[in-house]
Amino acid sequence: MNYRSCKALNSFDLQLDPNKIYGLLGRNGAGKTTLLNILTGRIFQSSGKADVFGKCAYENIDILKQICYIEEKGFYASSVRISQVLQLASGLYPNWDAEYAERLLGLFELDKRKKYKQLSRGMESSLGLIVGLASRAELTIFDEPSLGLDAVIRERFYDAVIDDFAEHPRTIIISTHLIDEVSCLFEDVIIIDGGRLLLQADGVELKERAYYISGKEQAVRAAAAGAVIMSEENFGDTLILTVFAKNGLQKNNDTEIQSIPLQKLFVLLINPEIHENLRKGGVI
Amino acid sequence: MRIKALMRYFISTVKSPVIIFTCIYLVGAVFGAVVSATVTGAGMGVVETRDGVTQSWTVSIFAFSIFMLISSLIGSQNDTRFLITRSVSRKEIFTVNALFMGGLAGFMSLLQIAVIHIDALVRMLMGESFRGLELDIQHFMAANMTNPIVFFTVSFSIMIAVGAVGYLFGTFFAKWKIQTIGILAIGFMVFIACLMLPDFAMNWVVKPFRFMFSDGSNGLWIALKQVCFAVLVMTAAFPVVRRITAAKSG
Repeated sequence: MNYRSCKALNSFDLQLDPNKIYGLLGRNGAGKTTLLNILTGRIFQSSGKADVFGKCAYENIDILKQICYIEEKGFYASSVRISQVLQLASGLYPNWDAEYAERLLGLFELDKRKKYKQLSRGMESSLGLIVGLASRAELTIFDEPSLGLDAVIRERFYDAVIDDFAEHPRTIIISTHLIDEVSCLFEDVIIIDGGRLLLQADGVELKERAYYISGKEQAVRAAAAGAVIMSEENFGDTLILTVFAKNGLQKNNDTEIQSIPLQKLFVLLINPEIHENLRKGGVI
Repeated sequence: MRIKALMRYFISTVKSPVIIFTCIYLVGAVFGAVVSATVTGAGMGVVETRDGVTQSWTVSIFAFSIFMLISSLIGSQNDTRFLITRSVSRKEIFTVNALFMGGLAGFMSLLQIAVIHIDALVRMLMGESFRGLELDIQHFMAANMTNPIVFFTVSFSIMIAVGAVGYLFGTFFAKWKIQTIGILAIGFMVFIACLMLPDFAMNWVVKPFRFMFSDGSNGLWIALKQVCFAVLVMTAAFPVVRRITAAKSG
């Protein structure tokens, strides 16, 4: 996908399975929104093919009504009331659950008589979450869903996603910068950088392969044998290695091993040098 | 179901501008009716009706201008980005826009009937006879414009034709990222100022559209030609809409 001379997405090959929750991660300008826009038929790719449920979404109403894309910004007209937004959504999405939407209004503490222009940034996000969850669309996409939300509402959203997904499995893509907070939801992680797909992996496996190993240098290096070292730091006699191990680690009593939070792993993975080492080491 | 939901939402978003434009139209039209009844002879776009009366203000042109302005705003796709993100195809947006413009044209045609009666009422108060609908646009149109149904049909079809042109303008404004409301406001003021020039309305507004009019017909032929013209213009606008929505959402 090109924007004039700039390549927003390049050599991109991605396949999503049904009924999974995907975390779409990348820095600002990495190409996440471009990817989502192409998937939902909002913009046209310069070359290649983008199918949803086996067909191109562009101008295909049968496909479009199975997609609910909740953007970072709401774009609702300022004069409409929340009730009118929900009424519109009920007409657009065939699986819309009005009763669930009412419950979510209570959960996210929104008054449906309020006009859109009266909502704070967090309330706008909450409205998007209600539409996204109650749409029960086969493909539901949340782009930065927690923008402006307080910690309590964010927690309620994560719980609501898990509960509703258990009852009504569907494909959900969550694009976010609050990686650690949302990482418990992700089944699969997609990492994009500079318009390229860096990694698509099982979220749990990914976290189980990346570790901090600390202790005496000799013991740490022994434990890290066979793993790819992403970074190393010395604190006096103590060495801390950040490693990615495809087949687990050699544990010993002289080292302490800790999992790396997904956000830290993401930061390491988008470093070109580290990524190249991991690729050469055959671990990703 | 989807179109109905979209229409309901669309109406709720444009309710306020339509009320404002309707008020502007009514105030302008009543003002025009008073001017046309009190000032005769040379002046603002002199028009001579079939019954030989000259008037110095064309009530209809005001209505058409307002409608063109509204259509341009609709065409400028202010809500497109929102709608596209809500799983709506461009075809559906286009259909909703067209249906909305149709409904609005019907409403404004009814208003026009009312306004022309106001014009006639003013004239009657001035001591002239009540002339019903046979005023203003009838002199270059169907023979039987005194019939409200014929008047409505002809007026509606003009609105649709003019609206289609406005929609096309609006889409181009959006494509070139020009501030639609600003350009339209300036254009509208220039247009109103130009109406004050003698014969401007007749030579520059009426004549270019004359190919659609035919004196002496029963009005249906006029309406048909205008609707065909509108469909052609809207058909030309659709590919532009598709490209704008793609460009704008990027």
